[in-house]
Amino acid sequence: MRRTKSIALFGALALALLTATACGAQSATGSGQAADPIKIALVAPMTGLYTTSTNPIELAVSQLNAHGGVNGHRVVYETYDAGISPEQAVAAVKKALSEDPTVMIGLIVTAQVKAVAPILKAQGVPLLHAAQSSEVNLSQTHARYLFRVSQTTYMGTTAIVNYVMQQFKPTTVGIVHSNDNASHQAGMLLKKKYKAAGVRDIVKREVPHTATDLTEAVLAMKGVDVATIWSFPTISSLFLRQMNQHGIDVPTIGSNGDISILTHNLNSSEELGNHFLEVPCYPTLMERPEARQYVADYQEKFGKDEEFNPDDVYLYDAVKLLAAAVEKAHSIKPDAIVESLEDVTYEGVCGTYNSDTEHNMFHSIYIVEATAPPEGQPQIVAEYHHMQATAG
Amino acid sequence: MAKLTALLAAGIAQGAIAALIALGLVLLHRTTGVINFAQGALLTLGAYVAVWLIVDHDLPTVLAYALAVGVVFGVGALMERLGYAPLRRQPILNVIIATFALALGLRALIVVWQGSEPQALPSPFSGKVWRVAGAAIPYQSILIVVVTMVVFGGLLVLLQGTSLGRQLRALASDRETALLQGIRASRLSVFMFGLAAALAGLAGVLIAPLLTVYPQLGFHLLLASFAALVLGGFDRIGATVGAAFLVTIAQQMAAGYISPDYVAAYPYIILLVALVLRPRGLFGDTPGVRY
Repeated sequence: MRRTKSIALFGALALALLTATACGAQSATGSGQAADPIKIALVAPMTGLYTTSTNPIELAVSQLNAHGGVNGHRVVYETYDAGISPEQAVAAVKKALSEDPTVMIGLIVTAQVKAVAPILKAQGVPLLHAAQSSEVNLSQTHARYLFRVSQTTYMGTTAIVNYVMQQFKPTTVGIVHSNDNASHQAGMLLKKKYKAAGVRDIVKREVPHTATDLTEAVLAMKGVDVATIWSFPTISSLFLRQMNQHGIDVPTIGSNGDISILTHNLNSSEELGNHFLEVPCYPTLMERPEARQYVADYQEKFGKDEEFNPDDVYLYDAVKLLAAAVEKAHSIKPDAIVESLEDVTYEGVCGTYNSDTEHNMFHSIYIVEATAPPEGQPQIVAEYHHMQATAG
Repeated sequence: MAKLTALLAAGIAQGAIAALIALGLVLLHRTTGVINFAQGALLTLGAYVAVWLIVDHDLPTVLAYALAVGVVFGVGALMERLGYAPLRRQPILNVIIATFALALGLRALIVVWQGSEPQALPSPFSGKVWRVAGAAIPYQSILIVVVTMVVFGGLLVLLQGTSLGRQLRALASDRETALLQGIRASRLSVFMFGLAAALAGLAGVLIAPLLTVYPQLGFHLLLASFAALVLGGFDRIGATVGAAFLVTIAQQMAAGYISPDYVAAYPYIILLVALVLRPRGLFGDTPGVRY
């Protein structure tokens, strides 16, 4: 009898222990799933040239977490200084991978994306990047984890040529570009597209990206109907200054790099008198409700005096786009996120995001007049949406 | 004619900046044997200090220019204490490599202080130009050339007509004998590092209004100066200044009348041709060293 009682007591205890363990395990798993954060690795230049502001990503993450995260997952981010060289990018990506991120965001240079593509392909971690060349299209890299969330050179040059042809109907066009790889490619594309659009004469100059004087190139622009400049802001700024000094008063149009000229007041209003530029985003000038909301939220969080760089807004959209993809996928597994990114449509600050077959998610360009009348302030004068991101 | 005038004016202005940088390099090399690769970073520092004083603190231009040059003089003197004095008895190559390290360190500090985004330094002439023979020459360019000539003349007077100059020349011609004569080489070397740096700083504040100020500015301007330094034979002040103008004017003319496609390569083509024809420099008889 005593033995039976002991067995019953032992059995009851064992059952209680098993039940408790099972409940505990279930509870741990359940809370573990809910607590698994979406870990974003921001791999971008954090020091030196083109230093990225973390404000846009900070804003997006705080907004998502204020609403309970994404499908119950808190969102966290960590920064890794990827500089602008492929070597720095590889080092940053490897360091980030050691901390098991859900997704990576950043990288603005084509050579960097090309360098890290095999690593991310092997590790299976998605990257939302902002490099502009068609060399990082899906058909080139065969890395389905890569998605582009900003404009391409193809889109920028298309928008420039379309606007110039519609607005100025030139017969002679000038093209000045620097000799770095990206600008060289843009120069070639511009020449091809101007020719295809029916421009009779094209005057083209390639200048060193280290140039400290552009007199010859500027003098060559005498007699053109429109001058196009595609280079770094330091070179574009010098070009505009010397055009003004030599009294060559023709419309000039530049690339998205020229945003720095406006945001850092590099040129006088006289020098910017007839200058236009193509940009993928400029929230303070845009009418989109998403852009207006972003500006309001940004100023509320960081103050009205905080420097506002339109170049970095893609980071905000990238985080929100990722959130939309996770919501749609109901999973934070890399393959599920990739499948969802291929299918999702997201209305962002800069435009509508949806992936084409080459994993280009962004398709809008805005043309800004640098000193538009009547107040001489920058103003969007044309918009191009649903653009083809790369040559077919 | 307008094109020729414009290209010539641009070449002269660029040459004046290259000459200012090269003057510092020559003076330092003559008295210490050091080629200071931080000269470009010092130019950048001068430009940033001027931006900080004029744009951020509304100081009058002349005062700001003087203060900026003074600050860079101080940084140059500090460099001597940090990068040259401790290595004085080491092989000269070690010192030259140390100047590389100082250049990178200084550039990093500038980025920490001012960020990496380009900045603008307004010209005291507000972008006004002098129209001559159909060409437009910015008054800022004229200022650059005038200041460079004044500085060049001042340096010649300093070297030829003062006690300090005699000490410097003695140190340059025979260091051992100069030391035996009681010349205080360490004090002079601090002064020369400061003076060379100040020349770079002056080049920075003068050229900045024509360009934009960014961390690599000095490095981009340094390259033509090195071509001038080699052509001038490393130790001859007048020859180096002449070579600086020769290189930049030839570069502009070649871009304008031969082909604009090789504008970046012209200084080095000129350098290569000159060294093949005149291995010891264009203007002199610098003794060669067989290794």
